[in-house]
This record gives sequence, C-alpha cells and structure tokens, in this order.
Amino acid sequence: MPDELPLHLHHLNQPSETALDALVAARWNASKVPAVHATRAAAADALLRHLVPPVSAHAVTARNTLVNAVIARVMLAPKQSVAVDVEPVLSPDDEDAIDALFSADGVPARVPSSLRNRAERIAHIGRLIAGSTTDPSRSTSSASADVRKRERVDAAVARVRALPPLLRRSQSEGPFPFRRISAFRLRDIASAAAAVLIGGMVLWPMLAAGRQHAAKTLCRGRLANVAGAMGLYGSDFDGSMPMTAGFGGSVSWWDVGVPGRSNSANLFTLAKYDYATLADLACPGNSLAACGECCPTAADWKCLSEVSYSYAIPTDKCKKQWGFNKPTVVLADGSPVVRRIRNNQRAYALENSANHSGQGQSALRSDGSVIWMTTPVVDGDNIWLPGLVEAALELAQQHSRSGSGQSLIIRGTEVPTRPDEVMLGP
Amino acid sequence: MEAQSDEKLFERYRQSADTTLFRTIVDRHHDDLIRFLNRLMGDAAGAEDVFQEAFLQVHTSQDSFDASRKFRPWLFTIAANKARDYMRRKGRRKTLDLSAPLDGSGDGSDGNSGTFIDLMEVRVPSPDARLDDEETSKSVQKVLDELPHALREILLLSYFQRLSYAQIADELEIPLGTVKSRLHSAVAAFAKKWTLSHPANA
Repeated sequence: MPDELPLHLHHLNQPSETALDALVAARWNASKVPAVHATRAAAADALLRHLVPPVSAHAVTARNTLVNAVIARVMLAPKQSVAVDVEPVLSPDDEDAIDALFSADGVPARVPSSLRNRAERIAHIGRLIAGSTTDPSRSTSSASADVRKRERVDAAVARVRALPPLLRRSQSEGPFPFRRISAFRLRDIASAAAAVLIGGMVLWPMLAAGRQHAAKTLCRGRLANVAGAMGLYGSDFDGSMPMTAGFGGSVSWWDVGVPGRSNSANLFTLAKYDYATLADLACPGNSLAACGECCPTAADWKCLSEVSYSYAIPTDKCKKQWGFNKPTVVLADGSPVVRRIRNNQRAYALENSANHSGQGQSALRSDGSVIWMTTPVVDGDNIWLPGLVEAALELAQQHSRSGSGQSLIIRGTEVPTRPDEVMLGP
Repeated sequence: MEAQSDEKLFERYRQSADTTLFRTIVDRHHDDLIRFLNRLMGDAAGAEDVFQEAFLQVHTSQDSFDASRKFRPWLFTIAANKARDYMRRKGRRKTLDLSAPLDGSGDGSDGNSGTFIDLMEVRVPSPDARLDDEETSKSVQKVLDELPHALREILLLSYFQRLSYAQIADELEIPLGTVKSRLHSAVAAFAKKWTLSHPANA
C-alpha cells in the first residue's frame, strides 16, 4: 500500500516538480509563475500557505515580553571576539626546517643545505626566545661569562652529588628524558595537540548543554518534591502556605539570616519542620546552595547565596493559599533582581534567574504544577517585581520603548497589594 | 530607522552597540521567526526559548557576520540550528543534518520505489478558507510533525525565507541538487499526508 510507505518515498511527478521549481524561482509568488505551470503552482501555493500559523498564536503582550527579554539578555551577554579564531600556521618549508633542526641537535650547520637558511633563522628566533642572541657554536665568550658558566656548572654538579644515591643513578644512567621526544616530529605533536583541541572545542559545548539540561530536569524534580511538602504543610495548617509567626513583610524581606525579617525564613519552615529537606530546596544550578542536614536551631539560610529559590512574599492581608483555584507562581529559581540589587549592581526587569545560565527559570504554581518560564513574566505579571514598579516601567516603556533598560528601584520593603499579585523574594 | 535594511541596521548596531537598533531588528523579525520556530518545533515554549537563543547568538557572533550577505537567511539558519540542538537535547526526535541521506532512499530523489504525487490532484484548502482557523493550524502542525525533521526544516526554511534554490544552497552550505530533491520530497510528503488527513475536503 502506498500510504504505508515512509513519507520521504513520496515524490512529485515531473510536471509538479517543474511547477514547484518555477514557484521557488518566482520567490513563492504564484502570480508570477509562467502560465504553463500556473495551475500546479497555485495548488502548491494554496497548500503551503497554511504553513504560516495564525497571527493570534502570539499575543501582542507576549510578543513585547519576548522582545524585551531578548534585549535584556543581549545587554548582559558579551560578544565573542573573532581574533581568537585566527591561529598562525607555519609554512610547510618552515615545518620541515624545524624538524631538520631538531634532528641536527639544534646546529644549523648540520641541516641539509636546502633548509639551512630557514634553520638558521629559526635557530636565531629560538635564541631570542631563550634570551641569548649569540650563537653558542660561534661565540667567543668573555672571561666573566666563562666564570659565570663555570659557577653554574659547579653548582649543578654539587646539587647532583647531594642527591640520594638511587635517585642520582636513575638520573645519570638513563638517557636524557627529552631525547625520546625526538622520535616524534614537531608537526606530529602539533597535530595531536590540534586534534585534542578540536575535540575539546566540539565536546565542551555538548557537555555544557548536557549539564544544563540535567540541571533543569533535576530542578523540576526538586520543585515537585517541594509541591508535595507544600501539600502536607497545607493539610496541617488549614490550606496555608509556610509563613513564620510575626513575619510582617514590610521590613527588608531580603535580609537573609536576620531572624523574623527575611522571606526566605518562610520557605525555610519546610526544612525546619521536616516537610522537606534542604536538598529539596537547593537548585542544582546554584553551586553555593546549602543542602546538608538542617541544624535544629536554624530558622533561615545563613546568607543570600545559599538560597536557591525565591518564594511568594505573603502578608497578613494577602496570605497565600495552597491549591488556590487560580494557580499562581509561588516559588521559582532565585530572583536575579534581588541578587543584583543586594550586590549593588544594576538590575534588569526581564533578566532570567542565574540558576540556569539565564535561559529561564523553573517555577512551582499553587496547584502543584511545575512549569518552565523563558521570561519572568506570566499572565502579564513580572514575578520578580512589585506591582507598583511594574506599572512605573510600563509607563516608561510607553514613552520610550526601552523599558527593559530602565533602572529598577526596589527597597526590599514592598509587598503585594492584591491577593493574585505574584512577587517573589529573595 | 524602520526603512533601513537589516544589513545596514545590523552594521550600525555592530559599530555603536546601541540596543535600540538591535531591538528594531528583533522586533522586525519577531513574527516570521516565531512562526517558523513554532512550526518547526511544534512546541510554543521551546520556540520562545530558541528565539531568545538565536538572537543571543546573533549578538555574540556579530563579528562573524559577513556584511556582504543577507541578514535574514543568516538569522533563520542560526535559529534552525538552535532548534535542532534543542530538539536533540530534549530527545524528542531523532534529527538529521540537511545534507544527510534519508533512510534507504539515497538523497530522496533517485529512489525507484515510492509514490508520485501530482499537485493537480492534491486536495488543497479552498481559497476562502480562514487561515487563522485554529483547527486548521493544529491540523497543519500535526502533518508537519509527522515529516522527517530534515524535510520539515528545508520546507519551512525555504518557504519562510522565500529564497531561490541557489540562495538556499548557499546559505545552508549544502549542494543545490540536495536542496531541490529535499524540497520536492518535502512538498510531496506534506501534500500526501495532508490529503490523507483531510478526506472530507475532497
């Protein structure tokens, strides 16, 4: 049955192939195809027009967010220098001259006459590199140089005599170790080094990409564990999400390690009361994450760098509920905005978390689902920013289309003003 | 600024590092590139990921851009390569280079076995069919997803870029004959699959 054939075994018949060629030649404009092929070209055009997905597939807001996210990443990424790609290469004659010079123990006079001139120049370069421009075979050393030379020889002999007998024998009996290398030509060694280098250049990005992918997968798994812990906590506390007693959220919620202040302490509650382990709360992309045993007296991580995930900031007015009807993001890879501001760096609204090399962030939603976000914006809400700051940015963007480059002013005391507002920290 | 060619804009960006110029370029190619990636990958989140990666690559490799060439094919080729890497990493599909032979068919053009499709007999959608119909769009995606990656890639690259065979071969650095035979196979496979999945339109 023809229908069961692999798809690549279907071919166009000759007239159709010619019509398609004509359509391509007309840059896919069927009206410009010669009349003899027009019908088939029009059929191909009508069929392939459906390759263009509907415009509505990408809403205007999502479009702006994506463009802004690209600009934010570009502003942070250094460009590659092309200079490193240019590697000097010796001419074949010079390679032969180097080989011949090595075979002649570094004496240009013993090099075949056809290569001698090149060998002499190479020997001269070699002496420049070694720090001496005089040819030892031709030089007439001064008396002081002879004295220094003798002193160096005597010192070397004295050190050899001072060696233990076994070691001295091994050094004196065996051939000079580097002589073995002369069995290889320099170009062979260079070829091997180039092969290793090229292999490394090919393998390294693959390994790096593999590591990043594995880190993303592990991260999602850990957030799924946290979802289980949140569910258990919620069933013990009337559906509430972790929040330490007395957390006001109005005084520096990013002061990690300061009792009763940081929002990270709210999340730490899960580890403190054995709903989750510290390892569950450690993203594999954060090399500084604390993931050992939880100290019984600890109430928070010691410092911001140990914290992997940013948690929804709760307030007395806007308490977070697990399993809330409309799922919102409650936990995500660490906020780059908080980290930059705390390190006195310029922060960018659309920057992705550093946990996954700025590619995006994993996020846990209040219904227990884990999603991957390529930008920090979900449903038009930036998860790193307070609503007021977002409104100010939007206003600035309307006036100058460069909102992603605006400086962010956040004091660490802002809190969500609506129950559905997402704002994560630290 | 909008009226300037991509190449001139990009050249100005390379000299000034002015991100508003880069934004104009990203903005200008957003719609086509995101549609191309959506169709190629069949995964909206992945397409956004690759969209960002492609422009990041454009930025980091800006010095390697040959100013005598067209910007758009360079961008789409980078995006197609990034998409291929992405799909390979995710292990969703076995992907082939565009120049690699297809299973058991040589370059796809000289196999004697197989069916021959006449475009006159293909059940094409009516001219007044709504292109923004969500169902049609899903149906097209389903058909595309069933094509071998190499065929899908050449079909979408050539259709979205609207280049000649010689230009495609030049940009993708594959032989012109391979481009032609691949595109013929891709259109034939797409037409066949489309006809099979839409018997009611006959």
